[in-house]
Amino acid sequence: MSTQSSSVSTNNSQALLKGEGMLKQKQTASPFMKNLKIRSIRLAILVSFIIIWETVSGRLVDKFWISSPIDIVSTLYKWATSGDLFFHLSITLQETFIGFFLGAFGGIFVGFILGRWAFAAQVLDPFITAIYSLPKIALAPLFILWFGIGIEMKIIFAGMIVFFLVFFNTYAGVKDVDDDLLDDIRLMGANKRQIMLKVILPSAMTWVFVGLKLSVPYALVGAVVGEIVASNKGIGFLIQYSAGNFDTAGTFAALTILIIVSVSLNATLSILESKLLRWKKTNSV
Amino acid sequence: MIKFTNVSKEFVRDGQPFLAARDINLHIKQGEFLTVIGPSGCGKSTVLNMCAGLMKPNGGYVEYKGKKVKEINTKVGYMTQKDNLLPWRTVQGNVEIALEIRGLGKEEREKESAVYIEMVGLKGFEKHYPAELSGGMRRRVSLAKMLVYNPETLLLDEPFGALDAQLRLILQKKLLEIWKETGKTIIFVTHDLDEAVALGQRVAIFSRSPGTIKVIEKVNLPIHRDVFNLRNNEEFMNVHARLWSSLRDEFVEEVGAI
Repeated sequence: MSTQSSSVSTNNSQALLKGEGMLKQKQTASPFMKNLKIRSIRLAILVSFIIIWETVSGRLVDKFWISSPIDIVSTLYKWATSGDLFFHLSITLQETFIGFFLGAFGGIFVGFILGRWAFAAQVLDPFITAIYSLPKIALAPLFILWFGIGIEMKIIFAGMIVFFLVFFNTYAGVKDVDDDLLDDIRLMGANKRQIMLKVILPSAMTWVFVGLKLSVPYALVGAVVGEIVASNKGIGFLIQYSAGNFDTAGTFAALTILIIVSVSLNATLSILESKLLRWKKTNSV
Repeated sequence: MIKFTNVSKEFVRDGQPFLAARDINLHIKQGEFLTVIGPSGCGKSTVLNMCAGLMKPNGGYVEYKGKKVKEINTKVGYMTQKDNLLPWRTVQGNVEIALEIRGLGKEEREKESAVYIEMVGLKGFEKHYPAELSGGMRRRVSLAKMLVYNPETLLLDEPFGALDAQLRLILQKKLLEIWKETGKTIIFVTHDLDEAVALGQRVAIFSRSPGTIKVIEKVNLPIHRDVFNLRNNEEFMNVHARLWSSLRDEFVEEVGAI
């Protein structure tokens, strides 16, 4: 729900921006130019941040604390050429994706069953709420105990986090189906399977997608946290290992990789979402 | 065909029981076009809901073709006041859904849906989503969606309420044509007396809540009536005047109560 309300408010603010833009449309440039302007300013901020960082480090602040962009890039280059980068990245991505798919399938499956089976949902409600409200990261030590410190533990850990997010959204989505739409298709003579396939599933898809979108970054969190807690490979291990060796450049380099990975994941999801949920846009004629 | 016997319906509103309809006795013959008019909140929609089997009466019973309506009545096509379009389907997808349920092939579905989409004047909007249409356009999609699968009885709840006057006349004419051609039984709820008289063979007036049928008036206009030029017809004016005199009381009471 919070994502919905926030998107509404951004729509409103965009509408306000448009309204203001119209008043002085003659002076201001086209949307393309405006976009270009925003992008250039963003780039300028990034570049000046890096320049200031480079200038300050070693002069005003000890490199031990903040390293320097050049050192970070050279560490990245070193990792890339030695194959370390690819190795650790592939481990983390494996954990993230396998965990994500396991958790997502489980969450959708259980969400659908409980969404349609009101009695079971009512019985299990307090237990589900209790497990859901527990900070999942607190379970990491237990998972090490159960599943060891290998890749499996991270997959299960990431999968569990994803499971709950997707489960709750699917559950809400299935329960959110408009009863009038169900009546409408029943009057047309639809059987149970048709009602499921033509109304309940597509109607719940919006919610399921919100759950999936939310949970991709969390799958990454699960994998990386798992690696930081106990591991000898993966990006989380790189962060932990570099920091443990007082290698600030290495720590920042690993963080940079993590930022790039999560930004690309989110961008891919946004594109997917706008393609799959085209009908959601509301521009009335 | 459709028979209401001493039907009453009670709802619970704010924890208080609330009688929406009482003592409804009504017999609709096969192939009849009945229009229903009355003040808002008088239980007109409730009558349609009970006919469709979406609601059960608290007293009395509703029969459809001699059988009591106990569950969803798949013999009727029901256009409710709400559009009930599937937001993730295009105009065409929405119109075709009943045909999909009946297992028609893609080509046949496209052929059928194209006829009705054109009929309601939405040609060129096949690939639009409901969110991209105006309220009146969505109403017309709902109409096409119901007509396309050819149910034997049509329940229409203010189907043309959101449309402009010209379009409304055109669609009234189309509906009369379909009725004449197919011999469907139609119950048509409206809040517009002109429309009620122009379309119905009989007009039922509902009283204010708890709603019951106050008057049923026969309209002796030919089946092949011309909806565009009815306003000066003598029979139209007589029926209109008679109905208005009993309908006026309901509205006077309603406005007086405020």
